[in-house]
Amino acid sequence: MNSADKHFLRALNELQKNIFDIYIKRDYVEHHLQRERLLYEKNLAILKIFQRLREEKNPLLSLYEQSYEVMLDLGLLRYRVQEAAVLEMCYQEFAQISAAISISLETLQISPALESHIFAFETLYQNTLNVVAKFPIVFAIFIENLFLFDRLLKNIFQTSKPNP
Amino acid sequence: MKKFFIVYRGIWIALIVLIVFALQEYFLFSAQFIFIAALFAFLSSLILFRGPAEIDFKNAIVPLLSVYEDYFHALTNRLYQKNTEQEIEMIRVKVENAFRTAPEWVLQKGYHARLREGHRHFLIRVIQIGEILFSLHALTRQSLDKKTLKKIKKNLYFIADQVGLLFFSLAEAIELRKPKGGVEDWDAAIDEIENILRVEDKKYIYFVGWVENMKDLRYFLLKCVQAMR
Repeated sequence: MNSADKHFLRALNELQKNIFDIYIKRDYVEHHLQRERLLYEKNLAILKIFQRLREEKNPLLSLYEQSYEVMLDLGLLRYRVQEAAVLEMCYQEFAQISAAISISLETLQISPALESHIFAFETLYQNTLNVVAKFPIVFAIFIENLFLFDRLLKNIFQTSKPNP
Repeated sequence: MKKFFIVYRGIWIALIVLIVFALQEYFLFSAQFIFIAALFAFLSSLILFRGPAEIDFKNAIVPLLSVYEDYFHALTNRLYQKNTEQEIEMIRVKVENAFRTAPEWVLQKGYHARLREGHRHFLIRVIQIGEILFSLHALTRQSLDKKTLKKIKKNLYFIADQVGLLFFSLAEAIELRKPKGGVEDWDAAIDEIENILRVEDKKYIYFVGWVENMKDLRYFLLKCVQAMR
């Protein structure tokens, strides 16, 4: 991995931290403008790196684009779910998943805890969110995207490994 | 507009420094000096301004809406293999460039008090629409059931046409031209797709994701239209 790759993964980590922070702190309604401004800044940082990756003809570009798109999809929950009580139920899962993604992106290897945390979130969805959430389907989409993101990260780290 | 903020901050810094100096009686003619400095700053800001904030905002937003329209059409076509990933990539680069040059200066402190609320609201919606389009791109990369795609084709293209028309009408309205109109609500088309899809089946989750994005897109576009009134 060259410096642009590491740059991208760092920027993606910043974006995911900001997205999950909205769910963890549940302050999107009150600090709507600041949150959007911060997210836009993180987006800009990633798009700038994409330009560099394209110039370099980086072989991982497509995977990076996909992981960014899926991360944006994960961010859509911020206005799809406005019920603070429902988000509060998922507090622990959100914090654990964000931490596991962060570890993966920092250490450049998939954290084994990530998949188990996503499964835990899926269990929470099936047992509780499915019943209490106003629109449970948005959580189903969120979980599917988390699995997709996990697969993409595995793919990125696998592809970027030097051949023995 | 960035120049505006540089000048704006520059004026304040210069004035504060001068006032501090004046209070310390370093300048004999402090009052005149402050007046001359303020006049100079005011004139320089007039020269550096290319036009009113509305024009700068309009010039930055209209190209963004135009590339969004192309991108959304290309993504719908991609579902039916009518274009290649390389073709979409070319449009995506244009979207990224337009996204990067979005008028984010309306979010800065000190932006025009009268325009601030409306422009910020509009810009945030436009940025969110961009995020929805990027996430739709992720869905086009997944393998989707061809039979289901065939069943919802008519409705998907109807939505794509209406979304395109609405983007175009919005751009026209921003340019202060009378929109041609003829946009139909695609809520019924979304309902029809939802009826076709068996949402409880996991296999259909990406289709459901697409439908949810359509709903969000509709909501944000309508919010933009409302903001224009």
